Amino acid sequence: MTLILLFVFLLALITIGVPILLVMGVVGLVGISATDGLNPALFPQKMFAMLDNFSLLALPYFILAGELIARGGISKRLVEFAETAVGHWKGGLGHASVVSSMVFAGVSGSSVADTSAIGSILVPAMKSRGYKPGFAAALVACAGTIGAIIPPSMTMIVYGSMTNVSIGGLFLGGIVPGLLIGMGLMIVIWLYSFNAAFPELRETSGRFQLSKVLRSGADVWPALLAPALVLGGILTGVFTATEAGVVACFYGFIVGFFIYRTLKLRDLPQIFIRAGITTAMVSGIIGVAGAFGWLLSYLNFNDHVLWTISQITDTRTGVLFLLMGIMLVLTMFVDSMAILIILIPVAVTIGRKFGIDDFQLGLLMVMATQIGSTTPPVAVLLFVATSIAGCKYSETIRYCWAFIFAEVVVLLMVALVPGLASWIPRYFLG
Amino acid sequence: MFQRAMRSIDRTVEYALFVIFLIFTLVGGLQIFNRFALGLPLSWSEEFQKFGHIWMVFLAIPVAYRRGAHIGMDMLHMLMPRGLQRAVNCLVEVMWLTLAVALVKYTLAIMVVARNQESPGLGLRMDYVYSGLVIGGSYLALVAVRRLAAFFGLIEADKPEPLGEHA
Repeated sequence: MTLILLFVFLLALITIGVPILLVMGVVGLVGISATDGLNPALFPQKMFAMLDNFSLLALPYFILAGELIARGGISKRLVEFAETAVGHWKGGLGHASVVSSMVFAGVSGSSVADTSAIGSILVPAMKSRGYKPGFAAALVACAGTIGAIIPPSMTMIVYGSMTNVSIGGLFLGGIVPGLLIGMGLMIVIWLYSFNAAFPELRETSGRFQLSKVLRSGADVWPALLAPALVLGGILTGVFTATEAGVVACFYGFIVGFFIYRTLKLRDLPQIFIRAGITTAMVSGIIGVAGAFGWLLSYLNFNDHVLWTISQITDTRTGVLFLLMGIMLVLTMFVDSMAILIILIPVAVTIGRKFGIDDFQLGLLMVMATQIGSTTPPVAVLLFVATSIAGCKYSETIRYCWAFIFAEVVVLLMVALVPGLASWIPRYFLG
Repeated sequence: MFQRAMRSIDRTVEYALFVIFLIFTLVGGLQIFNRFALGLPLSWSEEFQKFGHIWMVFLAIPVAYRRGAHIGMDMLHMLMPRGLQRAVNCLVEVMWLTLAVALVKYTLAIMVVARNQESPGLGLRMDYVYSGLVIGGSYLALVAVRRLAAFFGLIEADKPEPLGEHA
């Protein structure tokens, strides 16, 4: 009964627009205070315990590194590089959008940052070449999801720090699914180019010239080197994911200050404050989720869910499909990061009970949250891209389904073939 | 006068956030440098960064609240009639105040016990570490009271300071 009441309040308050951190905080606090035998001082104590985690430090570090590198104007250079590399294909600018997002993903770790950075440059360019604004918005939003799948990834840091699954391993596991999503989106663009209603997709940006690619590549090498530095350090076991975040911060500072010379010392306070606020928006939810999640465990919530799921299916694949289905449906209506944080403890309990690989489950959860960020009605990436494109939300929705379909196909592939997510981390990290 | 005082408190908290973040990032760099360049791993640096992160988060939660940056689902809220919207907004401010007061009250209760404990790495009294929650909670309460006062027209509302789209 207590559990039902908690969830009714939780959903009702989220639905009417109360911020998620506040809802989970107040519901957790009231739940602990109202439960016999529990001291309300457990609330701040469990929040503190949840945040007292060295792995979680990777989150502020990668957010700060992304801010420092993005300040260098890297996104414009990246787009130029991507266009010289793939612009000669049909729908070249669309392909350039996907490739730019994939490379920017290696710098930012956030799908919203990826969508807004790449979209603010490519969407106006696509519109000027006759692309439908809704199509351009849907494409950059769906390509932006790669930002949280190709490492580094804020979402993976959240997942890893809450479950004790290696964050470095999750980063490595994201490489293949991220590349597959990129390929899937490019196939959709290619298929669209045969549609008579999309003549703009048959345009190309001239012939392929290696000299041009190398010339623009020389401008973006700091962005290309960033993921190599992070992944190289983790792969060789030189540093942990958190330390990789620190290295990325210093690297971002050196690139912005000494190489691009766009970063000024007087900008640093605002950059740190912005990164600090962004960190708190996520870490704050993790903190209150620590208290709320502890209460749920105390009330045997995980056992109830486990029992219910075992009544529906008892196969590994069935459980995975059920979990992904729940994630995809819930993230259509509620912010996907919040859903991820709420469901992580129970999903991991279920996953381990049914022998699902930690990296595979982690990657699937992260991918589902990203797909959730592009599925209407509540789709933060579509909101961002639509506002950049200056079109109606309904117009973006009309064109997003084919791209979402491609992402769901990759999700199913990773669900059915665990090695796609787990082979690289298992090979390098054991 | 009141607005100026509040503004200087806001700026001080934001500057403190910057300084804490900068220092623990530098300590993170020092940890790596010491381990690889000098071969002398630091025993206290991980703990310093963890506690710095906790302090930063509890200071930044009210800053994000003041700037309207916390994530919420505002679709239904936007469709509500104006009167209902105002009622929900008032409820939100009251909930923030409740959360802030509870955070301060119950953390103070923990600190009484924590003053007899020391952190293993830094040898720091744990009540000092927990005090970040009290400071952040107190500032959160101050922001909530100001917003409630502005809601009822008792003081002028703060000018919006959006964070921008970068989460």
